[in-house]
Amino acid sequence: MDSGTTTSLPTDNPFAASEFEIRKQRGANRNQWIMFGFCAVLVVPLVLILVDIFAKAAPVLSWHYIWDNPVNKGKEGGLWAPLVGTFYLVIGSLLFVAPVGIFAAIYLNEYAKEGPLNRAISIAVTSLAGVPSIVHALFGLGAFVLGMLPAINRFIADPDNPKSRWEAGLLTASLTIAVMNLPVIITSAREALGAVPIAFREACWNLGASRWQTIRTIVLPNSLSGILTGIILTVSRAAGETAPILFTGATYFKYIADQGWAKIFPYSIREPFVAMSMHLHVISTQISQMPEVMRYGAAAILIALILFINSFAIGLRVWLRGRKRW
Amino acid sequence: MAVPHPNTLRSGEDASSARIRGAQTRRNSNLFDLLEKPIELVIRLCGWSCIIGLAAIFLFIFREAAPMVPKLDWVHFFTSPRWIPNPAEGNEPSFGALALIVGTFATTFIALAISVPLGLGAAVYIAEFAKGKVKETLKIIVELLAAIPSIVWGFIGLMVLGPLIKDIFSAPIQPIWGIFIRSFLGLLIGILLIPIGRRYLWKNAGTKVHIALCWTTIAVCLTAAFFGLAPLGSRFEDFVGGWLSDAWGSVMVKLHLAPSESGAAQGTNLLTGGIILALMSVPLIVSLSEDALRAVPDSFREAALALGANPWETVRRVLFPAARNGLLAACMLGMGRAIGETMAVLLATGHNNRIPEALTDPVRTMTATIAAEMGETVHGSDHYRTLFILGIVLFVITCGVNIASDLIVKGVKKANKA
Repeated sequence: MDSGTTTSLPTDNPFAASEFEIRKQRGANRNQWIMFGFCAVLVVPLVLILVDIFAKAAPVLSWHYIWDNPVNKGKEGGLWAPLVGTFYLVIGSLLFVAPVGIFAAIYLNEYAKEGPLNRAISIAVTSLAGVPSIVHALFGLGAFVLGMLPAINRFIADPDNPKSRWEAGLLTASLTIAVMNLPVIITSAREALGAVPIAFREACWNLGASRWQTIRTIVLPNSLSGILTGIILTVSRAAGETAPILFTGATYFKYIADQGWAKIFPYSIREPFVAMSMHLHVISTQISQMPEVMRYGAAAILIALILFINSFAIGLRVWLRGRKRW
Repeated sequence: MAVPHPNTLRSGEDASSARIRGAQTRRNSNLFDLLEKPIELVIRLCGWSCIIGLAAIFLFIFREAAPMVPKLDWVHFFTSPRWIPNPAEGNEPSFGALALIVGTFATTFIALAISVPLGLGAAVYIAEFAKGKVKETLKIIVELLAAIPSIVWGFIGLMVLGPLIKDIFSAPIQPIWGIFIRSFLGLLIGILLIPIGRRYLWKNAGTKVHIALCWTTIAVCLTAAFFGLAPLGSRFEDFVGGWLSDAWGSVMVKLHLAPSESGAAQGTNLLTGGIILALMSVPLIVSLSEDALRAVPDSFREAALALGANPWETVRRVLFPAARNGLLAACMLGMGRAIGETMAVLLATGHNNRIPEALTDPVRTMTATIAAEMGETVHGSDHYRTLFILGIVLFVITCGVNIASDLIVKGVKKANKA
């Protein structure tokens, strides 16, 4: 930002800036300041808001708040049940999306040739990334809850025993989130694969390796950390989304065991669960006379979770850039 | 893009000898390599997964909506603001989505009016002016902003921004005057501070730390002036007297900036939703426009500098025209995000199914309607199917925006190649 203050130059200097140039330079400096102001407007109020949320949440933040289950519709107690729900939701969606997304990226980067099909796939990736989350929710409702579950129930469930029926739950919500995250992971994995120099592949082929051998032994190991960064970003997105799980398995409240193994493995994949983002939605809009501090507490924990996951991804990327050898 | 593998057919070679050559290369194979063919098949299938997914989304939503398509009065749907899905006994339900569509586009418009200048300005600063640590920090902050989930934005709108907006706009007229005073004071302090700082503080500053400290001070002062001087504003109000604010208030009402009767009855309204959506779409616009600016070859910048242009002229006369399509695409994707956003607008726009008449009227968007009503409908009812039709409308709009922006960017790539 050091813009030379040309005014102090002596006037007999043949290289002195003219009045016009000085004015121009001043205008340029001003515009630069305005743009910096935009950055400040973007950053400073948000930092203040986040600090405000954490300050208002401070009275409840403790390990008990994380480790205890919500009591009395979330008015008391902690956040354990939704946190565990979010954890399993993330794991479930990763199980579906990670292999498919990485394979799709491999296809796009290593196999696909320029042409209409490839073009259609890239357009589909961007379009899928832009589909609103509520439309994903409708899709999950139509395809998984109303399409897949009845089919499963017809084969598996005992018609006389309603407890053996599969309900909308972890499975359907994970699938919905997985479809939503597919373009995210494809884009980032493709970027990671594309960063491996073409010479590596050519060297491998010249040693007689087939295409898949090259991918397995050269391309994937060299891009693994980049792919990992993409997966972490997917995790953060899956943990924060609310709309897609609204009708596909998340429920307002669920009481889970307070101790023993059932506290760590509370949900079966075929029954409704509670998640962090859903919990925040419920306690901030659906319950009257909710103590403010509980709302701020849930928001603070969710923000902290997401920022932690993302900082981890950023840190990984910075570390990677430092030790890249090509 | 994929390079042909040596195993592919060479010129003057028949298929069988190519296969033999391929087989020779696979002598030292383990299980993974023996499965090469099936794995390739799986990879191909996964490669098409996005197309399959997109088609499946349309198919399944359409399947749920289909029985309603011939039954729905489409003209009524697009022209009537009367959305009464569950009327009182004996009345016909009315599915008029005009207010919802207007609500969606009104919030999107306000969001874009804020986020496009903000996002482009910040992108230009990050891409062209910021250096070293400042640049890295800003990029990381923008990335973290993009990661904050929509429900948290909604929460901020509901709990933090909403009360603020309500304070500023409520109790008929006076506080509108207050916000002008406040922003004016903030601006004045900022403008005064900048030359003072330039002259005395960092002209001879040795380290970048000093410079960064000065910037932070100014930014904090600006924001504090804007948000913190509310009491001063109202005291000034008392001092000047009521007639000025009354006159100002009537102008505001005429300009449709404040509703006539009661000010902002609730903090969650069109303006709050628009600001929240703007903050949500800014990170996307910043990162995409920054990519577009970085894609302009350095030779363009060097040529501009060689002609004697200063950095700002380079940006305005050279980089903006060169990156025009990329910037446009960034704004369009920001718009797509604002249209499709659900949880934030569900919490932050208030719930009022009317065409907004003023900036601080509560509105309702298509996405929020689906999210709020889907849980309460009977599966298979007309209401339920109409919500799916709203979903199709949303899907078509956002897909159109995305494909259009994709085509615009591709246009840029072709132009660069030529």
